[in-house]
Amino acid sequence: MDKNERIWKLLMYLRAGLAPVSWAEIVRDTDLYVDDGPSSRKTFERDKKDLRNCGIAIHTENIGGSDEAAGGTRYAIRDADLFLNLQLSVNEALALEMAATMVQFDAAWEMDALAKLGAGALPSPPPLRAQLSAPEELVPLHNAVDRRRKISFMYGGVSREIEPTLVFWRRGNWYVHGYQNGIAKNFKVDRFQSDVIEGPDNSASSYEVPDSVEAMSEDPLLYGPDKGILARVLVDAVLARQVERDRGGVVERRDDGSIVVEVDVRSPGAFRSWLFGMRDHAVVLSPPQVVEDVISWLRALAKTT
Amino acid sequence: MILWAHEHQPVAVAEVAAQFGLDADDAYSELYPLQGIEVSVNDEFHNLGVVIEDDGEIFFDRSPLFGRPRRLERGEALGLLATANAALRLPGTDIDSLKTAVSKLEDALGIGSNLAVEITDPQHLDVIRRATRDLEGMRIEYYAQWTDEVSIRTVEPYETINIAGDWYLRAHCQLRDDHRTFRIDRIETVELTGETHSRTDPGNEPFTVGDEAPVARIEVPANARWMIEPLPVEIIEDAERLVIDLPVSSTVFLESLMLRLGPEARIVSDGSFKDVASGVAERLLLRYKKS
Repeated sequence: MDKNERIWKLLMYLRAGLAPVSWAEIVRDTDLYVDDGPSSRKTFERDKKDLRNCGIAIHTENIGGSDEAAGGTRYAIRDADLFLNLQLSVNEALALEMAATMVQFDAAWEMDALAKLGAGALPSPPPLRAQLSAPEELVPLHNAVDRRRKISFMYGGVSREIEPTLVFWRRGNWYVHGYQNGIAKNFKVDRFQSDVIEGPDNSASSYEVPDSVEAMSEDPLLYGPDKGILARVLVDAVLARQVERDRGGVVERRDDGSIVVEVDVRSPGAFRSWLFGMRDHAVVLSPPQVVEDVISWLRALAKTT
Repeated sequence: MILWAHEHQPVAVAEVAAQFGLDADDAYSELYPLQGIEVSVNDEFHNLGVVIEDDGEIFFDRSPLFGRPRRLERGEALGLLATANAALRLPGTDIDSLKTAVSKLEDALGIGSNLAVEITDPQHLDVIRRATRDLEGMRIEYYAQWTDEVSIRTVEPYETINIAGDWYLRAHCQLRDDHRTFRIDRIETVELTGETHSRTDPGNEPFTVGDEAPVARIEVPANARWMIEPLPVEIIEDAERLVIDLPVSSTVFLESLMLRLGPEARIVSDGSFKDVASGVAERLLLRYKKS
């Protein structure tokens, strides 16, 4: 019998039965395998593997008792293993379809999912859409958070064991938030240097799941120690509106349209990155140690050729 | 193949073949015999209910194996939940229906939505979204970081798209009489013109870096790797030192990058970029002397 035909028949047979069946019953009741010898058994094992690779779960249960079949296995493919019990209203289905056309993974997971749910293509593209990357670590990371599993991976040249609590996407990057030796940290998924190894279910402690904003400040200038230095920065009229909109903190408005903003400097590197992103449009006014730090940086840079 | 075909109806054998990277004849010879497969269980015959016409069209009769949503694989499940949750933050979605759909999905999938997607909602996104939907022109005041200039332009929108966390408007720009891309958080003001356009969207060309852009070779200090991660660079060396090639469409951007990288970074290529870092540093130092 052709392999394709045999697998389909096995699928239909295991699904149609009223109760799980043993290997002996499969051999007796179907023409799928010539006998119950080792060669046929090997073929049966391969067929089960192929079905599982197609996403079709095979339910198994041990045969009890003390007769000849005891200790063996019975097999079935149940509706719950094959189908999703999901009843969406027309509006809910449409809202999901619209969502999946507006926010898309580059692996097209959501489109494959919609196809399985029987959704059709929307008549026209949405007026806006967002694209998300789908690194291969995302599925095990989500699994680990969902099943409270510890994970381990190489990061920054060091092996880490983390109790993950949240996976989040921000400004084009995926991060996992979790606890290493009881200390909360964030890890950028792009920087993982190995596969993610998952521990057993419930191997991680139960931590409160933070909001992504609590997990990592949205403002890179606030990374670092809890208390920083307040700096005043003059921003000219070209970028004044943008800076005011993005950061706020305006303490002075000048007639030429420029503004002075107050900024909490916790990480000198992040502050310089923000400041120099504006080039000639921004100058630090105070305090003296921050001004001196910027001037030293510029002097050193001016000497490079 | 047969499950995919069922989920993508109406479909032809040639489309199935293309999806699975097969020759159409090979796909036909795999699929055709499935019509005749049936199995008897408790004196009842079960078949796949699939019919393949001579012209290659695939049809499905009622079959207990099809017609209901199949279980989702892990990636599909989290992908759908994440997109649905992310879309809840976007303007223009049916929030109530989406919320109940997400709740039903979580129950059916047996997993939580513990995958957060933050999508920013810059000031003018909603009006630009509506103008894009209605093909309505806009007058925008825009700061172009590439040229370091503010300009007022009339644009005819094609698409509003979020890439790597930033929102962009792709549109025909009347000022340049060409297809341009505008980062929405750099649009200062938006005014609808009331006029609609009928231009055909030429596609994504403005997002591709031109081959003709000159390249600066830069040695980057190891602790500044994060600054170059989002850039379209080619890594030349990544052992004892990190050396990259960066296409430079604008010296304004290169100045900003060199200021941020600091004195430990060096432009190692000869040519017009060699003195960019020292030049911008000297210029900025003058501002500190004045103040």
